[in-house]
Amino acid sequence: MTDTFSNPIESPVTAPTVSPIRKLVRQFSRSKLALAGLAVLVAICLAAIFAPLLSPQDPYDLMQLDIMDGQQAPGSTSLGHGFTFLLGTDDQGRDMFSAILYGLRISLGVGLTSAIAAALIGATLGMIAAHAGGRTEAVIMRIVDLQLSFPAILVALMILAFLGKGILNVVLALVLVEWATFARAARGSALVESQKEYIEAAVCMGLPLRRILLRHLLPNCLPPLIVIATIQVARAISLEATLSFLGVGVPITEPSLGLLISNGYQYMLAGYYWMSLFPGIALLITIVAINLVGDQLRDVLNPRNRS
Amino acid sequence: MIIHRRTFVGGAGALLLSGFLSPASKVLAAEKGGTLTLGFTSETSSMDPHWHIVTPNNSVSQHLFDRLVHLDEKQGLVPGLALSWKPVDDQTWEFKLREGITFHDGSPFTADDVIFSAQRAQNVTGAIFNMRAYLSDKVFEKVDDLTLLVRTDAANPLVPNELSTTAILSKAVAEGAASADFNSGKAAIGTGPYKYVEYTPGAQVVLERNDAYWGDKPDWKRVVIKPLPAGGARVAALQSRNIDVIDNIPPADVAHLEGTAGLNLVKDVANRMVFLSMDQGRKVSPFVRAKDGSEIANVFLDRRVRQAIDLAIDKKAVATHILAGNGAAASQFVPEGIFGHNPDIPLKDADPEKAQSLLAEAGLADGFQLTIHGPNDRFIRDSAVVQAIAQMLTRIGITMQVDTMPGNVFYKRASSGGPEDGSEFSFFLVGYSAATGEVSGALRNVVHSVDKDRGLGSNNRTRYSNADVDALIEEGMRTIDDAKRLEIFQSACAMAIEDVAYIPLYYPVSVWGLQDSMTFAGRSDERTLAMDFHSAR
Amino acid sequence: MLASLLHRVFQAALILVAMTVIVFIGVNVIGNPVDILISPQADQAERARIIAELGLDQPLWRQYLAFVSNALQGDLGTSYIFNQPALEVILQRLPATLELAVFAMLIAILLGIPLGLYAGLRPESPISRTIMAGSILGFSLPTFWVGMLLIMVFAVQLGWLPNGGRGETVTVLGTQWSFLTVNGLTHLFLPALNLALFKTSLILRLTRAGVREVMPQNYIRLARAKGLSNRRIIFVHALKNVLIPVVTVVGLEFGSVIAFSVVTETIFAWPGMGKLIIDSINVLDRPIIVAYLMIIVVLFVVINLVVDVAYTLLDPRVRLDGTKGA
Repeated sequence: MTDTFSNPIESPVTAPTVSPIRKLVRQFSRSKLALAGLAVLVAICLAAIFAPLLSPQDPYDLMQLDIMDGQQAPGSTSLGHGFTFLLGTDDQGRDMFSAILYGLRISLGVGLTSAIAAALIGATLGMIAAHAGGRTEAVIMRIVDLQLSFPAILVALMILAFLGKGILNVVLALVLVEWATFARAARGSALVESQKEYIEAAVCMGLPLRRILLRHLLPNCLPPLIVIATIQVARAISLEATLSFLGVGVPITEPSLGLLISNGYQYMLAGYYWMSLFPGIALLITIVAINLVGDQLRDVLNPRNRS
Repeated sequence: MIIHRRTFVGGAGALLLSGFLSPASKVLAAEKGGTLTLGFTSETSSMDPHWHIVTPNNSVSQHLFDRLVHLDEKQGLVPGLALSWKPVDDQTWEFKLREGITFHDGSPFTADDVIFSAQRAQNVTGAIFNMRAYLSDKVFEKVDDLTLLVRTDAANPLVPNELSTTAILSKAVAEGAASADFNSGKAAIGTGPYKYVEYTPGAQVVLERNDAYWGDKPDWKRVVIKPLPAGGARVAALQSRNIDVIDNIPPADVAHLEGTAGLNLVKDVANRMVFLSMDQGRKVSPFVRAKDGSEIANVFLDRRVRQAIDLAIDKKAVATHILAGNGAAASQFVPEGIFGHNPDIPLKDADPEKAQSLLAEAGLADGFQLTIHGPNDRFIRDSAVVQAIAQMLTRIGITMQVDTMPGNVFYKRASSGGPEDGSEFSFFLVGYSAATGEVSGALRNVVHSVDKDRGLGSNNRTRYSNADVDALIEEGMRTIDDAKRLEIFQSACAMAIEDVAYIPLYYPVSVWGLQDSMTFAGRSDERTLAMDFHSAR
Repeated sequence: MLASLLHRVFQAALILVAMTVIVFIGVNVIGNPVDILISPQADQAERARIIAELGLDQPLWRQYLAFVSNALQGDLGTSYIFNQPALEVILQRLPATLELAVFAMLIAILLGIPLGLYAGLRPESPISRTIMAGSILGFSLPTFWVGMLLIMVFAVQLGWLPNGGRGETVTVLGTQWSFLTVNGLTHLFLPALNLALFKTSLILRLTRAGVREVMPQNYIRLARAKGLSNRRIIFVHALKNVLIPVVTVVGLEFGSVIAFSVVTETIFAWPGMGKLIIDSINVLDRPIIVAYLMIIVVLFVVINLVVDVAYTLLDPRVRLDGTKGA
């Protein structure tokens, strides 16, 4: 999972691709699969946002849990509360359906936050590197190379082992392992753009650096960054799940999908499959949907593949 | 999850796979005189018996090396290399050694070997979990080859128990030997019922019966010990009969294995206590807050609050629902059958109403905020237990937060993260067990007030302090007579439990799985020894 | 070329030093190994004595200097758990991880290249579309979850393959290998497959992208015009150029496969380095943690160097000047 897999994605954009939105939508809709992915993704996001309204139980409220309801199979009825556990319960008597909806919130939240933060930091540094050149560029890109040559899982594992678990720490770890990808892509695009006349003109006019970066360079470097960001959200969700599975991720009382899978794993061999299987399926659907959308976005936004 | 073969895998793929990789399982019939294969949860980290004295290492070393005194399955004392022992005066014990014992290399065993072993056990560099706690107060004196005097700094009734920890090596072979020499087998020469054959770290230990052994001859000619840390893999190996015995059956598997033909499960309550600790050392405790988050006085200083929490927790429900039979609800510091257990201390039923009224009496009718801390990788389902406790306390009006973390982070914060090397936490789950196999360890280290100079209360993370209890414990520690000491310790336990010094939660239950061609009576010290397994045929 | 190589080696050394500092501070922050491992009977004096014995009472910079001076003599410390040199403990487990990683890579190559070729040559066929959809799945599925499902299906439900652990080994050249026995292979198959999944998708996609890029190019058209057989065009002319990036990636990713084996080894109880590092973090066996990371850093630096050199040899257009371009 180093930068190499995203090579086809982040190949330099040779022309400013400021295509009208309509054209983009039309090109995107060419793939039925991607459209389906987008629809599922929207549905998942809605489900996550409206989780409190959709779920019969607040899985984080200890008052609403009862260990006497623990390990119930899908379709059984709660002893005290009277509603049906659609997808069964975990060992604490937590309704799996509710837990999955709330877990989606955490997984998506962690994925989005970390990808956006990493994109901001990475793109800024990448553009600064491209624009400043010289020693600044060398230092930044050396750090990027170093970061990218280490497997993300190992770096994140170490960071979390040092920091301890917690949602914020997970986000921090994910940002730290992801920013470099953005930096490299942003520098690549920015280098190409910098040589264009309109930037040279802006520099000659003596516009402040911030203005050149934000107003002129950024909009033209955006398409590849959006593609990478999409893929990175999926990657972050998957990585978060893995870290939680290894026991260094989010805290147990607010389980993400990964932690739900992990908690259920020890019961899986004994036949209580629902505790692990259903959150796994939810995780799978989410990541596949994001990747389908990201894949199509890349084809649409990358002029080289548009033959 | 029912998955039909045909629907799940395409026919061709299935054929290919099954043809290419038909499992070559060899079925071991564990018969008398044959090979016994044991699957351990934890890897043996060294063959040096004086390196860390943790369960997997102890289990292996007991095969190779005898001790002066051995522990039976309830951790009662039985003669080992010492035939008999008696106190000569308050500070001296006399041990009579067995005659005619030889090491695996044929050399004779004498008192010199004991003296050497006791020295070496205290001086293995870097051994964190070492035997100094049991040996440093003793001076060994040779009377003749088969008689030994053990002098202690103060009266110590536990000398025989404490000597049961220390493996006896051959002085001639082990003098100057490093741990690596034990791993290679060069120095792994003991008097035990088995001899060293092979040790491959992470993979296996192979032992062969010592036919010249002084004690009962074990049933098995050869013993193979393999580490199988994953619960599923361990169970599968047992079910496929590749392994004869495994330890630590995962809770989720207990029920379905109990119904499996050809297998036996043996359960025994372990002499280990998992308990809740409440900060009683600070006027204001960091994780105790008023409902609105403001600072309040430490509620645990009020005995009624401690009682309320004790009553709110349904220990039996934790044992049956969360631990699924891998834990037995605890009422005191040691389980039944262990020296120091007090049959008069009852296991109380949970009573949330009474708990609530006790809280109201203490002026906390509106409840308060409390965070419970615990490890998430040290005990069976520890994080689930912690959550269940939070659930139960929520019901009596306490607003609970749960924070679990890997043991590596947890123990530092629980043991020395706070002021004066006390706990950083206010309310937390930990465990305790004593290698001496009786109650005094828990009393002097966990219950007694912290007294650094005398080495008392070293595990008293909550700074609990009760002068009356302290006096009883100290009196017991001086009393050589077993019956009198038992009585004193029992009343110390009763007093501490009455005062809710701690809340004992459960004793872990060890569950072994074995092929039904053999028998096993269980052990309270969690060890798995080939000598304890007998062929049923 | 030699100068730039020396430059690279110097950089690698810098990275190594930086890593030791970071790791040293890091392991010190987590927790104190003595708190975890010490006997519950030990008193305060005993605790202080052990801390001093292990040198943990020294200020951090002094511990670090001691570590560095020992490391320069090839001694990376003695494990707190195994009472053996840390390097030795890790190297004992290296063969297990190596054979897992090599088998995973083999599976990835044997599946990825043919499927990628097919998908690249016939991009519109339904089979290609299925392959590509499958590769998205391969990217998306978290390794640990696939591992769990593989165990559930093939080990528990069907009972065809063992659900974890390493099989019987034979000793070759003083090292124990399990892939030489039938029993060992059955144990190896599921974890290797699990580890290979992600890399298969990666290689598949790279191959496909390469084929699509190469096929429209002039020299292929020329070959066609000369009347060469389709097979010869694909396997001799096109494949050579397609494989350059694939070779690079296989090389670069080998290190990441070893690192990713942390997850697979944990699930399948595979007694390799990855399992060891997780266990060591759990008990804070600091010498092992530090030594493991040092080994991984060295591994990565060497792999990167070798790939760079190989790349230069394969493709004369690339200069070894430290920047590979964006």
